[in-house]
Amino acid sequence: MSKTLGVGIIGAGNISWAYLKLAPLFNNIEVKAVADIDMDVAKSRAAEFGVKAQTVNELLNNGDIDIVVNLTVPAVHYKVSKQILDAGKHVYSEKPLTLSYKDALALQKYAAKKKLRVGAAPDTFLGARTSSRGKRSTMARSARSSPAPATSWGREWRCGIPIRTSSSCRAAARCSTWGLTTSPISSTSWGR
Amino acid sequence: MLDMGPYYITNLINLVGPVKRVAALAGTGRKERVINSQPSNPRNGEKLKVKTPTTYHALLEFAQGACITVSLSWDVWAHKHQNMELYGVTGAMYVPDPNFFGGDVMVAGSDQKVEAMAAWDHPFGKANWGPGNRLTDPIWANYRCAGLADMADAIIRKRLPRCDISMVAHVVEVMTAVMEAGVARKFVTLKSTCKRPAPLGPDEARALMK
Repeated sequence: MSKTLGVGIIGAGNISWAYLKLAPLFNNIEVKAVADIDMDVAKSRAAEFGVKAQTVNELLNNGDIDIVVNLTVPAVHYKVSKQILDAGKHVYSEKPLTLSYKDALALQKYAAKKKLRVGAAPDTFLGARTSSRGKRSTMARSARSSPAPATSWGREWRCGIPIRTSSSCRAAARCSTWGLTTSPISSTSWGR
Repeated sequence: MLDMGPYYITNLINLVGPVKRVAALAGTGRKERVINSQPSNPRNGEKLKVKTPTTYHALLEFAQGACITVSLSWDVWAHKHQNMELYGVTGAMYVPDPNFFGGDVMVAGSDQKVEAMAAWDHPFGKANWGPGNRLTDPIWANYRCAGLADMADAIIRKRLPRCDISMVAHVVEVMTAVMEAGVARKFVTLKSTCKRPAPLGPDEARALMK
């Protein structure tokens, strides 16, 4: 029987549904509690999946929780992830990890100092088609070894915005799946 | 870039390795956008002023020598390109949507015939997810939490998680460097690098699952 680590989720917006729905497929994680700056939202999401609804501080101090999943809006990802490390827990963050390389590096150094792990989405690259050893190496071998071109085309058309954002930034905010990262962030809030 | 970019950039780093240098051109296709992602959103229909580039045409020079064109846009209603194509010396490879875990990998050799590669019996290849977060009539493979479960396993076994910050910080630098390069219309050399994450084979994936 493998060991199981306790998981807490901060941010009970859209994507929390997928995490709560899919976490039970795995044998080494168990979601113990959900928190949100809006307690009603946390309560209704938690009730849907039979887990505990807690305030952010309660969740950060919950002794049953080893890893906290940060599903807040991108603008507070760094701040909330740092709070999680301060609480002595490992972090798994939704994308993007931070809005700047400077913040990513600061988080990396802080986690190393605290001897805690930080990981982040996306994990889709672990899927059947690109992670498999044989397949992936065949695929990448020739592209890697030559300056031959390759292309990648991504596009998105939905315009979303977080239904609620944090005013104090102390706690987490709900995140609409396609929120915030594209238009409402001013051009000065990202950077290296 | 910061929303869809992580899927594409992470997948490319997973396949090709770390990035050395980027160049880009950025543009803004519309001055205004209308919130339309969810009819239930109380702000649905509200107009927003666009204050950031919404299209990036980027060139990524990888440490191993590959040079890859990446276009990410919020101004395109539909396109007929593959999500990702890799052109090698002996053939071309077409990689499915990096937003999901499954899909067919297509390849063409020197005969230029495009064929699907035989699929592995991998637990993350099975469709389990339908449109609108329905689990009925699944068309996509969605195994979000795989990275989280891998990290839990890594903590228990004291090894490096596949989605570790040592790689993700590089992804963030690539994305923000493209944004910087795109606005300034220049090349940017990256400060960070990373290792390609270890593959997660079918047996390793199965070992994480109930």
